Amino acid sequence: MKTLLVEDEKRIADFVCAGLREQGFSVDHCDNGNEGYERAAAGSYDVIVLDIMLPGRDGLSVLKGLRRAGNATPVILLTARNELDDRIEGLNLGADDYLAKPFFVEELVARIHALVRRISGERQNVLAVGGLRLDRITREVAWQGQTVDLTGREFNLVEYLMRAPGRVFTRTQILEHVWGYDFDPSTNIVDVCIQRIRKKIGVDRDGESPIEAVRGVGYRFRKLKADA
Amino acid sequence: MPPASPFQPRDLAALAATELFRDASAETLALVREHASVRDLAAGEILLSPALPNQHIYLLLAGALALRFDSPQAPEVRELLPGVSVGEMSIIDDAPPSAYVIAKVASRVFPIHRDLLQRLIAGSNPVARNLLRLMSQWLKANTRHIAADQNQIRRLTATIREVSAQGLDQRIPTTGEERDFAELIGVFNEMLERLERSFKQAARFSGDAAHELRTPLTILQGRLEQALHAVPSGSAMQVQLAGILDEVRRLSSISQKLLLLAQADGGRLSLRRERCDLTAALRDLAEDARMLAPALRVDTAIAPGLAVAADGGLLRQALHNLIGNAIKYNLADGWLRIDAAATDAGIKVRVANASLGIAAADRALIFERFHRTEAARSRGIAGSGLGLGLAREIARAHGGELTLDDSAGGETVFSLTLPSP
Repeated sequence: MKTLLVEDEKRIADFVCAGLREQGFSVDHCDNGNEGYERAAAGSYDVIVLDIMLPGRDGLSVLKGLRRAGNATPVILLTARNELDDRIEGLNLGADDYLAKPFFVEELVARIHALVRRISGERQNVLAVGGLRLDRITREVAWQGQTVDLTGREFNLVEYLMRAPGRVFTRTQILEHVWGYDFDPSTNIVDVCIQRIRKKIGVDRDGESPIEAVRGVGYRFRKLKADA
Repeated sequence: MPPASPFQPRDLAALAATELFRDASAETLALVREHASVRDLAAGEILLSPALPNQHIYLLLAGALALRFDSPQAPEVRELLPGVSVGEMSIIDDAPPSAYVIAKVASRVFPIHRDLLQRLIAGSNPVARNLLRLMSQWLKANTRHIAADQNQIRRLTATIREVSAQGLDQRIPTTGEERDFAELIGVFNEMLERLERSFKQAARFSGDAAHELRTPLTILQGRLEQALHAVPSGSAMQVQLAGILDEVRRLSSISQKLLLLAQADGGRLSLRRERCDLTAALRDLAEDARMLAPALRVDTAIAPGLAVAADGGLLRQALHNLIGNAIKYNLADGWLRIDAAATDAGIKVRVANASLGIAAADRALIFERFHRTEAARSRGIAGSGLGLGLAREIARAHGGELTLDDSAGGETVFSLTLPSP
């Protein structure tokens, strides 16, 4: 997926670029609004990640210019959380999503995937790994052919882990994605929710749950042995 | 301000008192003590204080001896009042036997027992009598100003009350009816100015601090996340990094709350209002509560289809905070109850929990920033002390209110009211 990152703070741009590339994105980066606009207008990007505070044209002006010129590339705005005026203006100007700083790259990746899926007409609705099958539209879940009834939070959690089998997600990354609001990081709600999911799903022929705990860190979706 | 008077009341009072008591018999002095309570005043002081309990007037008689005359209770006294004008001090000769000598000061009436005063100023002492008359004239002249000033003070008080309700950016006009108090108003306005300035500085400081922290926090969190995924899964290093990441999130969360509170203080907590499904949000939160606290009994009575026009993120944050507290400050094997319904006064959400009760000293401070109850500290309950204050600000920014209800012992109840959409 071809991504343009417009972010002036080099140290932020560094880890965002690295994180996105690690997850298979191709990333172009520029550090000011003028160049950002030129590149965005000229290039054919799948998605643009745009900081608001930029030297040269600011992020909102870049966005406005693109939309006025008929460029409909999906845009995710990076903004301070609850810099609400910016957020409201951004959404009115045609941003497709926004992400508050500080953010997890993992969350940015999830948002980009969701956005591109939405824009491209919801092609990848069904996620299937191992014996677990999950339909993002109907929100139906099946484990080895048997329907599993998950609550909203449980569904979102499984979907988040399933997106990258074998990759470990920390409790705070999961909290941020599934619950969204400020939880005390010492909460055990993620562990409880995982236990409930595991109980509902059950185990495979080898007696293993598709969701693995990584002690002291978090959880991951079991990678298929063939892929390992 | 009253015009300069040739009669200084304290001199007159001192003179009158000296004259009154020059020939006073032991019997008269005993009567004075019987009919008047004695209070220490500076020499010569006349205290006209309608603010004192029971509308007392203190009249200094000699040295540190003062008489206190109580306001009228007897019906016959009230009947006499229309005949006495403001500021007048006179003996009413045709009063009923139990009646009083009446002084009217600033439209309030102070009776002096007739027998007492008649004995004091029995015709044998014309000097004292004349002095009293002078005092009476002085009172008459001056209490008119006092009465007028009192009206102005009442208006000024109303204006100040309005100012403090509307915010520190308000000023009292120095023109108009209050012009006599121009100097006082000027000083008050200057004080408001200084208050507003330092308040803004304080608000801006925490706002700026939170703002400045954002970039380093973003970098820190991003780099930690990067490192976390770079080290072997489940390694000791990964466990360490996950732990540090938790603390960075905690730091971000506090910084975020400070920023929101600073915005609320500056009246800039702008909301992105959208239609929010309150019923669904509360059901999710109740589900969370059951997951977080399996030992608690969680009951709900959430009316279906409740919707509000609110900033969904902030509203959920406030509700999450209330329910989080209800769990944290619960009893072992206690209970938690979430009620929500539409009422005439708007949509009301009630979060109740079993508790040891909240100490009276804490009730008043519970919404204060960084306030943590002694009970919370001693029980080692984690928290920043910012959540409830922020929840209240969020409620108010939506045109609602968050209150701690009076409740029976053994439970704590918070009520959140939001305007109907």
